[in-house]
Amino acid sequence: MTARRQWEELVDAEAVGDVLDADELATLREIEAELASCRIERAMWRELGAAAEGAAEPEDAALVDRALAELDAPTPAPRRHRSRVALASVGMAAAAMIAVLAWPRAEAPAPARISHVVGVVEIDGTIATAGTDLRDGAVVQTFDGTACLALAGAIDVCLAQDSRLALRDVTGAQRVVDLDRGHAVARLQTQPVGESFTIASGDVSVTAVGTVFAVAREHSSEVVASVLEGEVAVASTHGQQALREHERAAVSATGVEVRPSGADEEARTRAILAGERAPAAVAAPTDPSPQTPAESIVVPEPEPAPEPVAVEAPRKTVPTAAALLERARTQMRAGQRSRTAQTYRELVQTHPRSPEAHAIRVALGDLELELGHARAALRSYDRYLADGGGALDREARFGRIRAFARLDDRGGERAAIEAFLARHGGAEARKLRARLQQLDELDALDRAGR
Amino acid sequence: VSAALARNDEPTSDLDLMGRVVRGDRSARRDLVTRLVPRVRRICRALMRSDVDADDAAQGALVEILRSAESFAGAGSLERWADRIAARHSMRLAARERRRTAVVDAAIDPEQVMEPPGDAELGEAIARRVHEYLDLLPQDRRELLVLRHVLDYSMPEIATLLGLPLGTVKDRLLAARKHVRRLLLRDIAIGVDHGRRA
Repeated sequence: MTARRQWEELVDAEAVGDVLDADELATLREIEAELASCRIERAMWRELGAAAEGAAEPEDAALVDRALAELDAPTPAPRRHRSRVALASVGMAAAAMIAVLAWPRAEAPAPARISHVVGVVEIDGTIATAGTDLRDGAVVQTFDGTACLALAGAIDVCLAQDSRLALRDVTGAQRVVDLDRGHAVARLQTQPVGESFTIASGDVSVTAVGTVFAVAREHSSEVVASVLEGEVAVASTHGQQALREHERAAVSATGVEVRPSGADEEARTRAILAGERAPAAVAAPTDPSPQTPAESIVVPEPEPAPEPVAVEAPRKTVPTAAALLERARTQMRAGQRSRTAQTYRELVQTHPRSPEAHAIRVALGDLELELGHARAALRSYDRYLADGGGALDREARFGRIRAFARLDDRGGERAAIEAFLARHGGAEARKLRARLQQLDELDALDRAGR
Repeated sequence: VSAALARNDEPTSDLDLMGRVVRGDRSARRDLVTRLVPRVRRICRALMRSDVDADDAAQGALVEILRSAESFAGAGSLERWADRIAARHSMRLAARERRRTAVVDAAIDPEQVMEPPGDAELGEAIARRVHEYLDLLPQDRRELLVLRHVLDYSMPEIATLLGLPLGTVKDRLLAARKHVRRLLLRDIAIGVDHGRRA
């Protein structure tokens, strides 16, 4: 038995409650003194043990407010449940953006209510608290705070700092809110036939049609819309523009220009959706003019980050694959998963044929799955296998199954399982065959429901 | 709470606090929730896959804690009592969430544990935060690790909580540890193979 294996057996025995004697403890210490991998693992278990410890965080105050509001509420206060549907945002001023996203939640008695407040937020000039009902015409203004609104129709809208949103019509079937300034993020379920949700900002309106998209206005005369998932309709003086997944349309006085959407605004929008304080771009507008344009974003939840294609400006110097891998590793250690994924993406884009790129594709796929980017994960696993695969074939094929499952793509999942079973046996086989049967049962249930 | 207060000549501040919560004292409610929220939130984060789900779980757990105040007998610490409610609540929510992919996740089995790389030139840093490893685990394995290593429950306590035989809990905990170990070694291996060595 290797020293490593001996160490594993001892620490595992300790973990399940066995008491180690003095000799065994001495052995552990000796092996750890010798092997860094054991020391690293020991540190990881120690970090896990401390996972519940720590000081209060800024977001804790909002959670306290929501819990107390729910306790007092006659009906459960809305929570931030996930859905696979739509997310949108719209914003005003260089710093101004809105985003819209939808999620399922309890019905509110009023057409809208404040579901979440952090810091100073006003409704019609009065300090807002979580649970406050809102009617048509209400104006919500954030100063140094942030707020989320729950609208009828399973629509939630979150406002960043320094935003102003007026509820033009949240009672009817065609709900419209006006973003005067700031940044808002909204998420909505697919709306029933005849119903819609629109964020208007100046002459531009963004209507979610049960999809995920983003719209931004980066210059005084320009509004940019981008779609992360599904499709939205962007209306302007140039007519109506349908925008599809990962597309970005810049609407200006001269016309409409469509190109791939970038990742930065997705990150900004996600931050707003997560209830974080406004990102730097919102807090510190690049254009101080009061005429600064709006930005509106509609994003998916969770949304697949697009591969970085033709979005980034040409680099003067391209980091080596090893340097990018080192950067990713540093980011990963710091818990920056999104940035790590971005660096991995940069690596596979700039050095697609390097051993590093090949080696990290499965890890990137795993990371994309963690981040909720199932489609991107699938692409990464596929690319690994298409490039010849290697030691991680089994994981890549299993990753494909998980990605299809996350996408609710039963056909894809079934095919991925069959591909896995054709090449790999092992303990998973029985469970995967059971999953195949479960997929058949789900299909049968769907057919019976029609 | 009331029974514990009645038999205590010098009630602890925790019992006082919970007594006021039971009587509907709004200030006490806020004090209680404010005190518990960092820990409850972290427990929920450890048990749930996304921050949004964790916040939902934490909110629900805090409400459940407030509504269950009467059941706090003062036998153990308030935090320990709240831990159990938060863990149970999170696991219930997670159970709903995982139905769709439970079979697939459960099938992930670290049969082929990688050999660790040569050790001499390894750095000492953990490649990822431990939460990220938890995120890569099937939910049942994640829960076992959190109950054992984060909440420091004994094996019999976990068996009782989960309604499983003690032997099963041990086997599953070992599998969970093996799974995390494999992920960790894979990260180490990638680092060593690609530029980690000076």
